Amino acid sequence: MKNISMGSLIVWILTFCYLFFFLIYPILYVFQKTFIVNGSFSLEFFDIMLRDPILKESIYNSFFIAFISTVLTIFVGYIIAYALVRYDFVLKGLFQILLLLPFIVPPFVGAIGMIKLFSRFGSINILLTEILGALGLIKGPILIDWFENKILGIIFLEILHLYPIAYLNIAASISNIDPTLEESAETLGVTGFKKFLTVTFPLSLPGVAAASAIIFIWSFTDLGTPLMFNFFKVVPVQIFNMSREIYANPMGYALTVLVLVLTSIVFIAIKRYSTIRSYEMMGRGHVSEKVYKLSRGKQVILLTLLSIWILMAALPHISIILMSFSDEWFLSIIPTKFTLSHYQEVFRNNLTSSSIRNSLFYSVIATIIAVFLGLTTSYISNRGKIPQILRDLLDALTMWPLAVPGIALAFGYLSTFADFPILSAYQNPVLILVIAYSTRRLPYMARSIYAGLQQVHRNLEESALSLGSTPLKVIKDITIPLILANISAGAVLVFSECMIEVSTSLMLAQQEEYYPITKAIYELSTNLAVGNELASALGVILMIVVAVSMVISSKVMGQKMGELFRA
Amino acid sequence: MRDLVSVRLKDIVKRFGKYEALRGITLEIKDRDFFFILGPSGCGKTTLLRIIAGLYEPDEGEVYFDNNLVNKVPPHKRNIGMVFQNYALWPHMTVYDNIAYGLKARNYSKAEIDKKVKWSLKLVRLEGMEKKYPNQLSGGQQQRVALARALVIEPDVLLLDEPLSNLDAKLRANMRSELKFLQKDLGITTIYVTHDQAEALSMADNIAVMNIGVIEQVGSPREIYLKPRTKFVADFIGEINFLNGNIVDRDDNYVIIDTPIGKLKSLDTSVNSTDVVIGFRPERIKLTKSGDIKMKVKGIMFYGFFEEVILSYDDTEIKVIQKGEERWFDINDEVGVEIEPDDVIVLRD
Repeated sequence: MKNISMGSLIVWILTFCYLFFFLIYPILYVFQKTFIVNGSFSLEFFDIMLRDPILKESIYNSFFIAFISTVLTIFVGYIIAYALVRYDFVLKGLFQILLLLPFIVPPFVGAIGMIKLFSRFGSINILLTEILGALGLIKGPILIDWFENKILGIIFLEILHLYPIAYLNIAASISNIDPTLEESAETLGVTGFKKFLTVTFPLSLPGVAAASAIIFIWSFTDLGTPLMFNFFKVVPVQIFNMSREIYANPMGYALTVLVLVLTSIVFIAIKRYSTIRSYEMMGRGHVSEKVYKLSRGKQVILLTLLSIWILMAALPHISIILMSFSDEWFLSIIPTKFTLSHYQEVFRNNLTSSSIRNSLFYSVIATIIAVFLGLTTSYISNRGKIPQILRDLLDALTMWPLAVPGIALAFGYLSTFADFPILSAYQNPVLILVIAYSTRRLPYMARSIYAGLQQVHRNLEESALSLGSTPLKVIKDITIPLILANISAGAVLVFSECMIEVSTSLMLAQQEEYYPITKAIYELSTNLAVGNELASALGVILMIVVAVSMVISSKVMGQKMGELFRA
Repeated sequence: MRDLVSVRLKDIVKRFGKYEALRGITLEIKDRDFFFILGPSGCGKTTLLRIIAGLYEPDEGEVYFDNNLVNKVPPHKRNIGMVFQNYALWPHMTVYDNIAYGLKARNYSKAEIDKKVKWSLKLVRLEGMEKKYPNQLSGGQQQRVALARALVIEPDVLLLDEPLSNLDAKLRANMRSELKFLQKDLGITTIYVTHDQAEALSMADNIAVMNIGVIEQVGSPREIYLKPRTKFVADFIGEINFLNGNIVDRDDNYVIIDTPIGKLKSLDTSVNSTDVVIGFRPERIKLTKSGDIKMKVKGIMFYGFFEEVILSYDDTEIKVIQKGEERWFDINDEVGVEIEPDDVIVLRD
């Protein structure tokens, strides 16, 4: 087709240039800094990185954390997904919502409270001492430092934060299995666990694979949690520390390249795998999903297990809520004295009050940029009058941020634009922070809008054209009103994700006056005497903002919300 | 009365990738004409309509409105009214706003818009529905809103893409006559795309029959039905019996064709070759007790107001349609077959 519109082409060029400059260029820059030494290609820096004992240990630790977190998270997520898809029990709807609790707070915020709960003199030990003491099983107090091994502590927190991703992906995969496939196994005499192992589980592997990829990458590149544990020997913290010496030390670049390469390999592998293993399900829709009613006894067991799990997952939330209200909390399960003073302090304190203003400002602007970019990119890639290959290219570029961890993007921005006038985070991080936020969440926005556009029949626009409306006016009068629900749902989601953005916030916000909430929380937790309480109060406020946004977004989006968190 | 517009297409070619959807279409549609493009699904008729609307650009060829070349004129500057198969009513606008949209784009004053919307609603008999949203309307009502929306801008050309195909049979029959009267009242040049031959025959002034990217024949409904020029047209419009045959004798006024059931005479002398296909409509056959051509009654199907009789001779079968009440034979009887020479159509093989 030769229908090429100049307008589409110009918009394509503009958006492409923007995304190239803020997505590809920084990555190229980091690669160049890593591999071009004195003007020629060299693996010298990579070699140094792999020989440096601390870096080597960091890389090893990160792999270990990511691997164990992934395996355990998938295990837990699978059980939860299977239970929720296949069994009917009371309060199922409530559990489905409660299971998403981890989404409303970044794990490193919860870590503040968790470290307190699980410390040697913390609530968990006291609680156990009292229960087991009362039962006469032990004498004297339990004084375990649960997180003495920080790696295990980090893994524990990652699992508590990431299991919803496993649960959502796997649940989608399981409910996509044609019930007749299992029924035919039954007619052949294969039932129970054997049927699960030979039919159900293999067919659900695409969901498992997708979830594994996300979880592995997330836990490998999570900066906040190890920082809270004061554990520095992991790749993200090393990159974070080296971001202060981007001129002197090339190791930051090399580590970032490592992260980018690893992420790409994982995503390409998963893409390959899911194309090979994407089973065409025949006859879906004719037979309803298989949902078993559980006997009362089994319901009790299932509900108990789920409740225990949700309680665990809510521990970070509970702990920071308690901490934010605590006036005196020492050697007791919960605080002995409560106060509202921390909340008052949040709004009085310079650091915290300005961080709230900053976060709101950054997130609003970032959301506006994301909406604008999301609209243009999805419109062009869905119905722009330009060659298909250009549209696919733009679409791929729009989705690419999913495969660029925040830590890598942040390091790229920091170093690439260090000497750019208004983009340098060292001078003023506002613009680059806003760009980082919007770029990172662009895929959510674009997906949301793209889904909307696919549902708007072209005839609706063509009829407006035929009635004499100009193409731009058609977009304004017809297209945008019809996808408004998708735009607003995407916008609210992007906004809340920006509010809890950790890695780019921690790395790019260099001066206190520009700190967003997440960086302020980190700063408080390390610096001040009552910093933890104040940080918790700030964390709770953040939690409420995000929870409210999520509820609004899911109300607008309905069922499709979960899809945004899938690979 | 305002100026009326004719539409002229010259050698239109449209490709989608390697597939040639339109293979050189030339058509002339006179002003005020109710013109039908009739063809099976996938023949390219909607593509052709979209080219006239300006929604597609042809790869080759020219589109003229009167004597103006409009190839490069975008749809919003062509002053056309288009009704889509799915109506394409905007769900976020009321009936009033839907209809007023094209007027607003033309910067009419509020009062004028109001007047015209009222007029068009009256035209399609939907007074009082202004405040409703499309999803509150029945299929037939939605169809009328789409029509009103296209008519209200007083288009030079009205384009209708299978506008009745989503209605149930009874409503469709009513809308046929209504649309026909409306078109004649307003006198707008109208191009109507359909795969429904009954629709085309009953409503059209002229019909173009399309088959896989080409136009097979253009003519009045009567011409198309009684004098099809190709086997495709004969087959696609109405029912017909085909027989292979050889011309064994000819004159200036008639030809004699030898067919498997016997010799037939035709007044159609247009075909010069010897090997031909002849066609004759089932309702144009007379069954007699005598006659030269004898066939056996193989089956009879009674449909109420007519009756279908299947006749056979060796391996050849033909279908006869006659009124239900006048049957004097039964299955396995032998009957005589008579066909008027004027009803025997001779086609190239």
